[in-house]
Amino acid sequence: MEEIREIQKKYCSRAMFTAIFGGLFLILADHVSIGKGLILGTIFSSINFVLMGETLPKRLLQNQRNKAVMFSLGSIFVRYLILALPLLLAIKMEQFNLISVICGIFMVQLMILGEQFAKFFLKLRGKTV
Amino acid sequence: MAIDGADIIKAAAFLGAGLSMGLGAIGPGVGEGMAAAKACEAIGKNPKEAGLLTRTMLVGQAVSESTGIYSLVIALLLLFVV
Amino acid sequence: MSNDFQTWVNVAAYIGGGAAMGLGAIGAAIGEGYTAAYANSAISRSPNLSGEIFKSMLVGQAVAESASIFALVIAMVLLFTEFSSQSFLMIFVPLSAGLSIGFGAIGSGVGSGFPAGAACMGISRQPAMSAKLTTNMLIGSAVCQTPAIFALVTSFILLFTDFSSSPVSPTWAAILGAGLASGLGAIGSGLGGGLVAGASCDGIARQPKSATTVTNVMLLGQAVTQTTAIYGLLISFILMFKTFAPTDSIAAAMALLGAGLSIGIGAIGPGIGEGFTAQSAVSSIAKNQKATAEITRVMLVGQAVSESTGIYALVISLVLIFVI
Repeated sequence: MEEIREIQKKYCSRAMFTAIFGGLFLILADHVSIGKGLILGTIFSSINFVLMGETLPKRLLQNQRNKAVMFSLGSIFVRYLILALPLLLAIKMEQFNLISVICGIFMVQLMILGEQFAKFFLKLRGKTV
Repeated sequence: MAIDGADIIKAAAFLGAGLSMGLGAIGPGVGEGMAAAKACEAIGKNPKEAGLLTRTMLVGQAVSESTGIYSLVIALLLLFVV
Repeated sequence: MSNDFQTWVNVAAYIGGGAAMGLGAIGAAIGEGYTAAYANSAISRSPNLSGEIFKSMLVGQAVAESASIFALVIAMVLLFTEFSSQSFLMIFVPLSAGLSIGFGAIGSGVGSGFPAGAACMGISRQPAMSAKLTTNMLIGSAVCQTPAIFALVTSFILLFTDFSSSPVSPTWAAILGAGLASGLGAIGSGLGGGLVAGASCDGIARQPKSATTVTNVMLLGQAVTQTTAIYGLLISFILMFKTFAPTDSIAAAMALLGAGLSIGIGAIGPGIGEGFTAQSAVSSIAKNQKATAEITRVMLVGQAVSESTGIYALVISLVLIFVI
């Protein structure tokens, strides 16, 4: 399971790093609610990713099929409830900008895709030049 | 709201035209895709026969396309004749 | 009377939110189940690679889930925002926004399960290719998410546009039609794009040398598969931004609803069909790289013929909007 921990550490720390620096920059530039929203969304995005990683092996190594199905449904339900929290906060409170919370929720996904696309295009360029 | 019979008939005809073309496009779309898929596989196995296989694929797809054209005709009839 | 409106607007928002989350979760659940089944057999095949397989499955799942998180976002906005009820139109806006993202997330959720499953199987077969397989899988499933993004864009535009100055009578049907056009239209493209990406992961695992060609043909095939979803988005935009003359007749309203249904449902078939074609083309190219040029040509010709039915649906939609 060390591989999973490693990959979680890598993407979560990159996401948090980007969010905190982006958020600080925005807060200093007087867009306080946008910066706070970005950081809030990213925290929950990382929590979701970590929980997903923790439940994944457990889900696969269940012996009984019914148990596995119930376990994965429960995992999805709990994780979505957790993701709904920042959205609810952003809708109800003026302190957090809704759009930036939504961007923050996808921060881990953006980090994963960004890395892979960078790899892909660098390779393409290396081939043709 | 002045709702009379002619208006309701027109309304049903327009909705029917949309549904006719929409539902009618599912079958030919999937079917032609499958025909082309098999042609690609066959060319992968036997690239020399590419011309013959492409021709056969196009004939098969044209037959499959006819059902899509029927629903197009029905949709146009519903739009402009009813 | 205004009190009455408010009740109905709230009811519509709850129904829309429920539809968004309910429909949106279906796709993700099916996709995750598919991935898990393949990951399971991959691990039982080579238990010593389980760490590598879990790693690839985790990132695949994180990306695959984004379509249903889009649906979650829209559902939360619908459930917890106060919608002002200036006019009768506001009843249809939340309903349509919910249906759009709900239907739109199904295809992408199921579709991005295919590459993730194939990549897990592939790693158990060719452990040396795991980095390349993961890259290919992620690019493939990112393209699968685009139809869901189209549906998300439509939902957001519906929610944040002020329709209060538009005439009620034909505009309610235009709003509902816009949501259905990009929502239903996204199902086929999402599924089709997933089939292509799955086949390409499988092909790379079987023939590692063909990796670059296979990835390029996969992207080409997926691009053609997305076109029908773009038609749906185009019709939604026209329906949302065109101003319609006020009218009392039901026929004018039904024409706009029919336009949305026509391109929405009509885009499903060609999307899946083009996905089948590109799937076979990619796996044949992996087996026989020498025939790449012929197979790509036949794939494009076959996809073009399959596309024609989607174009008929587009034509009927445009006629319903502009001629009638």
